[in-house]
This record gives sequence, C-alpha cells and structure tokens, in this order.
Amino acid sequence: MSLGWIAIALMTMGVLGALFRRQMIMVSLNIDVALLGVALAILHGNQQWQHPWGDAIAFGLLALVLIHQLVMFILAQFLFEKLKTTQLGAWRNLRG
Amino acid sequence: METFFLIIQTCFAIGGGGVVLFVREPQRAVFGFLMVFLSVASVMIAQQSPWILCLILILGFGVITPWIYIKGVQRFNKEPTQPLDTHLGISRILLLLVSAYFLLSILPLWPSLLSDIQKSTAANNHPSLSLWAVYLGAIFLVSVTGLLPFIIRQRSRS
Repeated sequence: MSLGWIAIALMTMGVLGALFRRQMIMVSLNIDVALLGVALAILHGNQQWQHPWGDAIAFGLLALVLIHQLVMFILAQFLFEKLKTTQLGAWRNLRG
Repeated sequence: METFFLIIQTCFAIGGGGVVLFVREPQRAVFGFLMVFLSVASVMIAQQSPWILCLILILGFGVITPWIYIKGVQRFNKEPTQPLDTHLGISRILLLLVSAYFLLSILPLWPSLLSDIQKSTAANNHPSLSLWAVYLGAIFLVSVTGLLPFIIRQRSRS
C-alpha cells in the first residue's frame, strides 16, 4: 500500500464524514482529515515531480490545517457560549 | 525497516480517520484527528530529515506519556465515586498505546540514522562503532524517561 492510496483513503473518509455531519467541529475535523490526505498526496507526487515548491506547499498545508483547527475551536467555543448550540442547522434557523 | 515505519503510520492514520468518521463525541474525534495529523506529519518529516523526526518523537514521548499518567492520577483522586478499576484500566491502556506508538515509530528510524552516522564518521575517520554505541545508549536513555512514571508506579505498588 503506497502513500498515494493512504492519501486517497484519508481524502475519502474526510469528505464522506464532512458530508454527513451536522456539528461544526465534526465537519471541520473531517475536512481537515481530507486536507491532510491532500498534503500527503502532494508530498508523494513531488517525489516524482521534484518541483522545488512541492514539499513547501505540502508542509504549508500541514501548518494551515493546524491553524484552521485552532481557529475553529475558538470560534466554536465563542458561538456555543453565544447561541448555546453547535448544530449547523440550528444556526441557520436562528433569528434576531 | 522503512516499510515497517510506513505500516505503523498507515495503521495510525487510517485508525484516526476511522475514529473521526465514526465517533459521535467531538472530544474523541479530536483524538482521531491528532492521530492522523501525527502520522502524516511523521511521514512528511521523515522524508525530509529523520533526525528531526526522532527528536520530535522522543520529546513527545517524554512529555505526553507523563502527562497522561499525571492527568489520569488527578482524575483518579478527584472522582472517587467512579469505578476505580475502569479509570486505571483506561489510563493504562492509553499510556501503553501512546508509548507503543512512539517507540515503534522511533525504532524503524535507526537504520537511516545509523547510515547517516556511518557516512559522517567515514568522512572524518572517527571510530564509528563506539560512536554508534554512544548515540544508541544516549537516545535509549532519553526514550526511557517517557516510561519512568509507569516504572515508578509499579515499584510503589509493590
């Protein structure tokens, strides 16, 4: 099983989870799993392409995923304190 | 050995992805995400520099395993109404799983690390064997620090 197949598996699991989740944190976690798969795929692909920016893009994506997750935690905590829910569907129906 | 390293990281990544996909509680899903992040970052850093990865794994091992132990003991002391055996069992399983992951990730890195040392010693004409032994002993000692709380606990129990 090569790194490419693992990347595909991670992307599939992440996208599937993101499609069927309702809570913001769970959706963001699943999207980030898919993005980690993308980062792995870029790194694996760059072993053949040998582009000078390839590895930098993969590591940049890794850092962005971590930053995104931290921002999401802070945002989810703020919204939960304000609206008392983390359900995406409930936020859509809120008024005022 | 590189294949062994990749197999461990693959199991960890797919397991973490499965946890994020199937678990209901966000607290547990975060652990799954961290598993995937750790394994993907390990594979990516190992491609660039195995020495940096080894350092990160040893630091993580030395920090996270005592933290799990201390955290487990705090909960154990604060919540006497909960079943004690279950508490201890979960903490111990978590501690052993984390320790096994770190140690099994560090060990397959040895061949690439040793070949790096061999190349540098061949260039500088140093006695390579003793240098290898010193490196191996030093990093083994640092690795064992992560298991110290577990060993101390066993002694205090007996």
